[in-house]
Amino acid sequence: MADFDIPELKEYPIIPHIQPGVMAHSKPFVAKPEFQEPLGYPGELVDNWQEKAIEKLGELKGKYRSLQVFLDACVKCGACTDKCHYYLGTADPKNMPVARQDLLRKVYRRYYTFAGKYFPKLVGAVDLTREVLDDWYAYYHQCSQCRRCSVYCPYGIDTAEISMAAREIMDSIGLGQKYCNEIIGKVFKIGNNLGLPEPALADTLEGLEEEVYEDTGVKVRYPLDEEGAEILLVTPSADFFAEPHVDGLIGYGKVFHEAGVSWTLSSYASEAANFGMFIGSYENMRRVALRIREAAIKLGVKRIVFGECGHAWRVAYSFLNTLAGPFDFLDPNYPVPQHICEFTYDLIKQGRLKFDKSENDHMVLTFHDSCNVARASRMGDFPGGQFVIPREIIKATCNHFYDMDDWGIKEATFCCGGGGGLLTDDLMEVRIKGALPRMEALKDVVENYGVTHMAAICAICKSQFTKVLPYYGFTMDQIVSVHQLVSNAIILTRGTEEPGGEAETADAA
Amino acid sequence: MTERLAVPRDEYGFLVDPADWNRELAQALADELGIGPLTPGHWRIIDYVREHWLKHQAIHSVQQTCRHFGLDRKCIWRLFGGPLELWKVAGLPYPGLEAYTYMENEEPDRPAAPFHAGTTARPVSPADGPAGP
Repeated sequence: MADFDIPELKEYPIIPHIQPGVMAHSKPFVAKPEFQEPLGYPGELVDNWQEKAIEKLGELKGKYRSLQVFLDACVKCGACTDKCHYYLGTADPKNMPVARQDLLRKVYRRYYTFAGKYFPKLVGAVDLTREVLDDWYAYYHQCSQCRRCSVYCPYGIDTAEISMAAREIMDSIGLGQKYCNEIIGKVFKIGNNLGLPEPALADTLEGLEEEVYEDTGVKVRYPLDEEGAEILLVTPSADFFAEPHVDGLIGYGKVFHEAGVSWTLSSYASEAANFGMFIGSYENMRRVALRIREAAIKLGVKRIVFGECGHAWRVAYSFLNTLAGPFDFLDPNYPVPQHICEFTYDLIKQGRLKFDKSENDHMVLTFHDSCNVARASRMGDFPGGQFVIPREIIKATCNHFYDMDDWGIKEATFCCGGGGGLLTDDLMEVRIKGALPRMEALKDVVENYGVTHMAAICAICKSQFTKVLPYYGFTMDQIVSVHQLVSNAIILTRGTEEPGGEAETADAA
Repeated sequence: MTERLAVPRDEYGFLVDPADWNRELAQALADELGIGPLTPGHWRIIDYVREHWLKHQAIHSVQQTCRHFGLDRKCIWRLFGGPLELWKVAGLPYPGLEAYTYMENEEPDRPAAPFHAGTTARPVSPADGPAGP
């Protein structure tokens, strides 16, 4: 049970009066040396950390021109101040995006600008002290890199880039975050965040095949490591374990089945999530992403499709080709990579999927746009596809759908509160408080339209909502997967032979 | 009580070595967690989850565990209170950080109404399997 006050839900987000320092205590556990070293970082805070951190900042701003621009361009107009869910939920002024950015910017100014070197007080430049470093560690782990503030910034400053750079600097001096770094290490070791080895995955998938067969009488396959399959599905490992994630995975399989395409999962690349992005480390992001390339080559697939995972889709859509490309061995007639929602939507548009929407009549749905899908990537071949496509899938599979208010959806969507590497119980206070604006938007549609469930396309969002919904008077099972709705409503028309017969599924189309 | 629980456990309360586990210890752990007397309905799930871990060294989805026994998806919450309680009573070790996180996120911190109307948590029912000895 929480030992802090749960914010009260209002009709819409109210800008709180500032409470300086109220969240200064919120710091995630520090990574132990054994989890730092496999990622290429010092085990613990190095002796000359100040010098090293300044050096790293110089390296990063030289390497990434965007970072230098973002550090220089801010005019403190204040447009971002009330846009952050963590500020709205905590009232700590250092959670105003401009102030959080300034924790790094003031150090940059001190060491890398003329005015800051000679007249620091005049330009708000400060030395990198232990106190400043502690602030970095606290507040750069109260940013989920959701980029909502960037939408409203007249200069387009990307706070996520600054948070990522700050975390990369801290990692490079031996001050890493336990949650992200331990999990990245698990991917290098086992292949996925949840630590599921090949036999466990095979066992789970076999169980799903039996389950779907019992429920539908159709032999839908959930293949693993099948060479020669057309599609490699890369999905967050939470889809093999958690609720409602696994219902989404069941749905993907039914869609592939109905499409008549052969597909496979890979035990080597059994993780879509890529926490390398959260810690701002292109090197670690690349190491994780390369597993997908290696698996695709080994299995000889022609297409790569990603399951429901927000930041994974950002990595896939925005970084995969440059990090792990070229993917010239894949079929150029399809997007590289493709989102499962794009795949399903195309089939719906072609009239190749049949649904019985009444299967979802026990629910009244709304949709939570995941930040990395909404603001850092796209879907389909038209602007705003990432907003339209998931909604069209929901409308095709459900009779009752209502959007939340404009201030909390699409490009203005609010983070679930657990993104960006914050989905850990040592950050529960910031997670719960950061969920406030989304909960307010949800309350509105629950009261006005009788919404009972919220659908999402992100493993982190789904798990975060499972945890925080009850804190705001909702229930943990009010969050569902979009492909769970597909799974409920889809009418399987292929391979409906009697038990014991061979499934006439794959390779037909 | 303390004597019954005199085995090494980690900071989260998981057994360090699952080989230290026995049925008496499981009952002591269940008492500590407020689960109460373990019935055959509890034991078959404990045995199943332990067997899966010993075979695969991996977590197993709650949904598939429930389904294996023909139970609805909320049986773990009704019987044990949540997936972490089941894991602890089954004497299994720390499952890894992300596995722990996902299990923890499925723990109802507000047990009054963890589930939506229609699937509201209820006391252990005959549907959960054989009652007590």
